[in-house]
Formats: sequence, C-alpha cells, structure tokens
Amino acid sequence: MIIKIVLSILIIIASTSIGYLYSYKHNQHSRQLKKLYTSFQLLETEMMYSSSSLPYALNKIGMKNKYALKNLFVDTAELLSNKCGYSLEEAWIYSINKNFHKTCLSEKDKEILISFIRNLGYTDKEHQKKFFQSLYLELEQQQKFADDFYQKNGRLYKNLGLLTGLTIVIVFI
Amino acid sequence: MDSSSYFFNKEILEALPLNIREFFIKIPFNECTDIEEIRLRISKPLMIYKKNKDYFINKNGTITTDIGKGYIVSQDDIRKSYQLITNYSVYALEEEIKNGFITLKGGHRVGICGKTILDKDGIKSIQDISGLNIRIAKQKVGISDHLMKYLIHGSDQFYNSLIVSSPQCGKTTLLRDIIRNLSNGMTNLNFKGVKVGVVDERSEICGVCHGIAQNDVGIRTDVLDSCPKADGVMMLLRSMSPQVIATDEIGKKEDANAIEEALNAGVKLITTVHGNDIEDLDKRPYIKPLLAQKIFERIIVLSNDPKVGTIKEIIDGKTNKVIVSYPNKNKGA
Repeated sequence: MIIKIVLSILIIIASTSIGYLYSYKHNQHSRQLKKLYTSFQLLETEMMYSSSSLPYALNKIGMKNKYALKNLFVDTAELLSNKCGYSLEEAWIYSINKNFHKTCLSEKDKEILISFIRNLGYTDKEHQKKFFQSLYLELEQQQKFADDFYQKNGRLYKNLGLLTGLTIVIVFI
Repeated sequence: MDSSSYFFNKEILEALPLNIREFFIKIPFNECTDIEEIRLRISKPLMIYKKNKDYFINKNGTITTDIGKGYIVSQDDIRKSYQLITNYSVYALEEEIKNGFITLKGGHRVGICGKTILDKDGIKSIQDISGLNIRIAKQKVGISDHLMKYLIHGSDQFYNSLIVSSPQCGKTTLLRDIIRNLSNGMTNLNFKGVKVGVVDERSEICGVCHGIAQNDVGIRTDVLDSCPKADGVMMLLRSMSPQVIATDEIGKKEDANAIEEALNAGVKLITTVHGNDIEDLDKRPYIKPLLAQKIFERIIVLSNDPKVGTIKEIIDGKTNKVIVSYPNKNKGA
C-alpha cells in the first residue's frame, strides 16, 4: 500500500513537472525573443552611432546575454575576428547550428535570423537601418505569437501535466 | 622558403577568401616577390600584375599567361573578399568607400569597383561590387638618401621642393622617403631632423589604417589623414607648428592659396604635381604662378624610363639651372 502511494506521488510529480517544463519553454521563448530584440537594438546602436566593426559589436552584444544567446553572438564574433575566410553568413550559420538547439527559439525565428544576417554589415548605414527596422517588425510579430500562445496554453500545459498524472494513477494504480 | 606565405603578409592573405588564399600560398616565393597588384573581377580570371605585365593564377597556385587556365573569380569570392577587406563593416567605412578605396593594415590599398550610388552631394556609396584591386604596398626605404644633399642645407634647413612626374613613376614613394629622412634627420649630412606635417588627402603617403601610419614616415611626423589639402595645411599651421609641410598632387586653386599661406607663415614645403617635365607645368593655371614666383627652390623630375622611380634631373627653381641629372641611371628605385 505504501509503495502504491509513493509511486502515485512520484507519477503525479513527474507528469506535473513535464507540464510545467513545457509551459516554461514557451514562456522562455517569448523572453528570449524579447532579449534578441533588445540585443539587435544594441547592435544597431553600436553600428550606427559608434561605427564599431561588426565582430567587435557582436562580441559586445553577446557578452550582455547569457548561455545560448550569448554563444550565438560570441561564437560568430570569434570566427569573424580570426579572419579564417568565412563569410558572415557562414559564420552565423555555424554558430546557429552549434547553439540554436540550446535556445527556446522556434524554426521560424531561425529563418528570420538567417535571412537578416545576409544583409548585415554589407551596405551603408541608411540601408542597414532599414534592415534593422524590417527585423524588428518580424521579431515583434514572432513575439506576439509567442505571447498569445503562452497566454492561451501556458496554464493549460501545467494543468494537463497534473491531470495526466492523476489519470495514470487512477487508471493503473 | 618555398611558400609565398612568407612574401604575402598576413593582411593581404586575410583579404582573400579561403580558396583564393590557398592558391597564393602555393605560389613559390621567388615568383611572387614582384607582384604589385592582385585583381579580382566577377566571372573573369584571377589576375596579378607584376613587372608591367598581367598574369593569371590557376587553381594549383601556378602563375600562367594562358588565359584559359586562370581561375574564374565568382560573385561569392568577391562578396567574401569585400567582407574580409571591410572587416564585415561596410557601414563603418562609408567615407573611404566613397573615395573608391580602402586602406588595409600595412598600407596596402584596395580599389573598389561597382555600382555607384549618387545623392545631391555626389557619390554616396558603391554597391554591387564587381571588382577589387589589391595594390601591395612596398615602402622603399632609402631611395631618397642620395638626393637629400640637394634638398637640405645647414643642420635644419630645407628647400621648398616640388616633385614632377607622370602617374605611376613613383613620386609618392619618393615623397614618403624624403619625409622620413626630413623627420628622422640624417647624421651623415649633419641634418638634425625637423617637424613634418603631412596632409595625406588620399591616404597614399602614410597609409593610415585605424589612425596608425602603416608606412615609416619618421619620428617627427604628424599626419592629417583623408583631409582636403587646403584645409589640412591651414589646420597644421594653426595647431602643429610644423617646420615642413608635405602634401601630394597639388593642382587646384585652393591648394595654391594654401601653399602661399604656408610660405607666408615661414613653413617649408614639399609637394608633388603631375607632369612629364617642367615645361608641362606652364600649362597648369594654378601651378604656373607658383613657379613664376620661384617659390620652389628644388624641382625633382621623375620618369619611368628605364624603370619606375628613375630620377631624371634636379632643377634649381630660382635659376632654372639643372643641378644634377641622371641620364639613363636608375638612382631612384
């Protein structure tokens, strides 16, 4: 009997945790998009007003972030600074392949980031500003989707986890 | 030393995409010492220029004259190379790009061709890059040593000097070395060395990159980089108390006015002008009055016969007499 009770509690805790984790992932998606948005704003400022070189600016922005987002920028900056012959796009894709799975960002976010980097640094300031404006619109839209999704489903995932645990306990134990 | 990487310094190799970089690393050392230019043009063979001739580079790093064997430069090669040259930061080099070139570390210059974008003030930018020309800088230290005795007198006095030559005859190279000697001083001539202010409008004399002169222009030299000559001369006069002002390629009215202003302030001057010989200068409306006033005490005439940098003669600008001439002798290069 005691074993059954302990097992039931463990199942409920595990399934509730899965629900919470799933909900947390969507919460983090929205937060990381906000972080990305702010990072690109800082990058724009570095480029437009300080005229910093792109490897320096990417490294600086990276150091203001944490974990996977940090590495996304810092790894790219490192490859560019070493002047190994990579194009910016190649360095960025290498960094994305290495670090993206550690973030909570979606495949659509990945496409936006890759498409943006194609034009980064390659034109004059006026054009760069336009590219940044276009990126902001896309990130805002992505963030709105992520927020809506979390609002709609965040609580649902948490409850679903708990309820799934309870169901398993009731049916099998 | 069987590899050209010993010849091509880091800055030049780093300006090339990886595949093209490998071709150049394979070129034997003795074959690349005379390379003056590396030319990349979209969908055209990769070319180098040495000893007044074009050559092609093939995938094995062999220099060839057979056009069919040359590696064809792709758009991606140009794009990568442009990114490497600009350090992925075209937006930070707008002013340089407007002038059509970027100076690399080491003083090497990269000429840019593409679609120019205009605004009401003139050229705004260059886009759709179609060709790059990497001009390898080779400072020739000591080429002016033998003629300094004609340009200086006393322990710190210098004659106002004008270098006259056609393009590609080495006048900027000679000017740079004269600046170095003036600035450092010459113990063998008991010349102490003077403060030299350089107005380097096209970054050719000093090859300034990120604020640092890449060529040796001496220890007492102050450089105003990318500054219009007329404005630069006035700025130096006001702020740096130079004893000699050096500038390249005068020709405009405002240049002539600035020169007169500098001379009135008691500063000596060395500059260059385009022309085959001294008679050519009579056709230049703003140079002719300067010669008539006998402002230039020494006029050095250069030619590229038998080779670039040959000094034809040095003329006393006051008397128009030839002080020294070098018939068919290659003293300059």
